[in-house]
Amino acid sequence: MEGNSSFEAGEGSSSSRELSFDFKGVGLEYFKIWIVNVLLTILTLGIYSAWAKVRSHRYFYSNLYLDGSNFRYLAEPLTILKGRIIAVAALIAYSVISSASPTAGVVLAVILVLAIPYFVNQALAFNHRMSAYKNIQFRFKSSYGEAFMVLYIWPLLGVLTLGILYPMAILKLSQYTVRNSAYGTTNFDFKATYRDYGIIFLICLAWILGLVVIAGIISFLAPQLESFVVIPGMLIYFGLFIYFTVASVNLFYRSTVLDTHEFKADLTLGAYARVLLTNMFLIIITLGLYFPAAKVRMTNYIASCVTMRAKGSLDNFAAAEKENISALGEEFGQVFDFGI
Amino acid sequence: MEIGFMEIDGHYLDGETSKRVPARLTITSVDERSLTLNVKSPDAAAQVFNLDYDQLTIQSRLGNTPREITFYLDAGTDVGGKNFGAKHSGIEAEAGAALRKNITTRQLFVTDNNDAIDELIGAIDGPGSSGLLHKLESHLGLIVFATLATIAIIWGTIVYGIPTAAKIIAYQMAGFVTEQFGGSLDLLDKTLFEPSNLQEDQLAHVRELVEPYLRSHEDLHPKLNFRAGMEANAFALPGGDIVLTDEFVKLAENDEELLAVVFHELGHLKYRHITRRALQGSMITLLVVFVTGDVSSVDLLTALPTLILDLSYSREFESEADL
Repeated sequence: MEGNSSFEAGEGSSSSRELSFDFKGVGLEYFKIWIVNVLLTILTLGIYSAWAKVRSHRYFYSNLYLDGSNFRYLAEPLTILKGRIIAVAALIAYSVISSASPTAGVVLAVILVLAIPYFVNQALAFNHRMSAYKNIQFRFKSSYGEAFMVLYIWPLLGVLTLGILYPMAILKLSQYTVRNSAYGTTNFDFKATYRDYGIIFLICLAWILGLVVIAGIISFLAPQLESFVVIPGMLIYFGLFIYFTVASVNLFYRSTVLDTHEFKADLTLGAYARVLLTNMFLIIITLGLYFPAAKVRMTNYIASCVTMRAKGSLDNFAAAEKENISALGEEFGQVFDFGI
Repeated sequence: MEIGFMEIDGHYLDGETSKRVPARLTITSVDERSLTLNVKSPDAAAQVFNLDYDQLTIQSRLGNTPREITFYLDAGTDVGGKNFGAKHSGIEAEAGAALRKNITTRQLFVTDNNDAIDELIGAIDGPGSSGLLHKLESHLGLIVFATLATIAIIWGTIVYGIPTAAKIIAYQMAGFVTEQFGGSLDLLDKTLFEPSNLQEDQLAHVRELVEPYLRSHEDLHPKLNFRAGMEANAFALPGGDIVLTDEFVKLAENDEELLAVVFHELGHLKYRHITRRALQGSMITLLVVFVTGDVSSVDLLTALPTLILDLSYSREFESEADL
């Protein structure tokens, strides 16, 4: 039985505590759940996938602990299934119509593009509402206009200004996701600045330039090694991915604030690289069977790096009003691949 | 342990605030399917919920994760206990108001003791009524079987299912595809290719050589094209266009070599290879997405199997074209 340390500690209103996120999932345990998910999904030609998704999310949410309590995933498989069926039907209709009449297809595509901000808002709202901690649900609420700006206008500006405004686009996206989120009635805030993202961006550029220069020097001095230029190429890709992920995750958490409480993440390049690369290696040599265990391993690592600095009691959060959000937004997102 | 007095320790969360309080669930009567939830609160007297088994929603067991039991208080729920006006960390609750608030809010009881919950379900609902999925997920023998079965099914799909499906679809689609891909050469002409620099008599010679054979494959709508702008290459587009680059024509040492390559390309056309390859590519991607669920963690990992399989399919195509 878990101790009730939260009780006594929670009463000290001026005390500041460091609470770590603990992920208690086990690779083998999740593998069993995962393989049954896969088999049943295949045998039911995909219908079971809604149940599989719920079970999978439940496993990761329920094994994540903060301050002695775990998170919960509340979605019902039938809701997800309904959303999926509608989304797939829409996709088929779109394919059929656009191959029969290209003009209609273009019109539909334009409508889809305009509808995406709405669906993204819906998807985020549904997902947040289906997440709970200590029996209080999360919330997400945003306007169509803001979603439109964040999904289309800011990235466009980033490209048009040859990348100068690109960190701004990423900042705006993070602000959109965090500031519109709430735990019960308490909103999150996001404190990062353009400069924070700009620094990450510049370091990435420097990394690319550095390796391009090295590759250039190598192929100039020793032309017969030109085929080995592929190695710096892979180094650029992996190094960039690893640096960017570590830097932006760390920045994300330390900029997130909930009421008087703050968060912190201290992923390191070395540790993250080690987890990522061993995961990839193991997945390849097991022909994919290691995939679920890899997911557990990565989640475990990231959770171990994230902490919450709680100032005051965590018992005072209040639940918000009930609303009904359909799963349609989330499932449309999956089928048409919005990927937030 | 006598079933009638089974006690399960856990925590109670009222869904109004984030405060977590120790609680104990007890079976009061198996026949009447009634339970009692005793909620202990350090700053006030205990709350006691008298519950009916059928108003509880007990989450299915999932590995070793904490078990969640949720319920709603309806007007009939008997909430006994004194001092309802207790102060809960700053939220005042009037006696009557508290009861009214709680009716639409989901109440939660959480416990780590999965085995006890399973026993409880077994006692009231009868044995074997819980956790089919959990049984599947814990039985090691079944897991091994599931793993092998899944591998076999996927292997079969990749090696037999997808190529066969692509073949059937490609042959059915013949006319439709020719029209769609017909524009490919125009696109290449706009971007990559330039008109051929070969002499007229060279072109005439190759045409004379090849065209009699093309006539016997008219169903494929073959059309000979010469282009410059690329190193030595010869390929066939699904619309029927066969493209020979200048470098290639110069490189061909004799007529037989040239003819052999043209035939090889005709083979690609006949067996609809490009179409099949495109179809197979999409099917593999769908399969990978399908199997790994909706996880898009590292896209590199999902692209890799698609790439590897595409390469192995290509080799088979090349051999087939040689026939």
